[in-house]
Amino acid sequence: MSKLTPDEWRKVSPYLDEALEMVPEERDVWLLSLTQKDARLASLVQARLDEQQKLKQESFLERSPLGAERTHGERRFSVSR
Amino acid sequence: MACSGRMETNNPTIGTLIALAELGDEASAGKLFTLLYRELHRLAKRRLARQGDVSVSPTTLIHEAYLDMAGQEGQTFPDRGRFMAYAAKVMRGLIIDHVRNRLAIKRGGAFELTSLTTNVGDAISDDKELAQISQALDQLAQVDSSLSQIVDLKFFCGFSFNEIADMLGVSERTAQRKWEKARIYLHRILRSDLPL
Repeated sequence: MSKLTPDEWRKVSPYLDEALEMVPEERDVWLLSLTQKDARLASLVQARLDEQQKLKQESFLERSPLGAERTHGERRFSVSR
Repeated sequence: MACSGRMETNNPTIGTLIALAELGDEASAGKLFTLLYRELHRLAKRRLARQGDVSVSPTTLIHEAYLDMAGQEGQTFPDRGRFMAYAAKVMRGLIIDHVRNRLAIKRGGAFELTSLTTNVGDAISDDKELAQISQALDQLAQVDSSLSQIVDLKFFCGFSFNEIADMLGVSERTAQRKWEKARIYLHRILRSDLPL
């Protein structure tokens, strides 16, 4: 199984910027057009967009590391005295 | 000894340290981290002592650090966005140390007193998991530091997209987009067994 390398990220990154600014219908048309130009790249972008939706649903990194002491919507922590 | 953030006359200012760190000077980056870490810790202690409270929010601490330090250095101080980005990264270290200490207390291990010795159970974070996220963030910073900054500000410090956009001088939509991209990248690192 291949892993995401920094170079692969740099290649996909500007396309993600573009796609994340679009509404779903617009994005579908755009992806279709990208597939015709570069199917491999379009597949990588599509996979990342699918992943983004999944992470959103899972609330990935949404929980505060200071969860136990979250009060009134603020993240709070105590320190060593 | 408390570190006030005011530099000795023969020491570089925060503005100088940030400028040198941005040029890749590792020693300056290290000094900057230590200075900001001490300052944030000092402010937290001062606030807790003054108010008799048991906790303080990272956002409050970072805002106070900026006001204190910018007031001391005046016009040579870096812009708010650059300072906040550095301070948020330091806050990440402070929070991980804090969680580690709380876990040590909970396990009856290292005797690190905190001002809060109860209610440390339910939603406590795993310090190892946080350390992994921190390492992944360092990797992300090598590829795109603007993405890692957003995660420090949002995940570790708890700033809203609106606040982040304001301090970094970008639109709220841009801050949200960068957050989405950062989450994808971090997820790929933390779950590197996933197919591309």
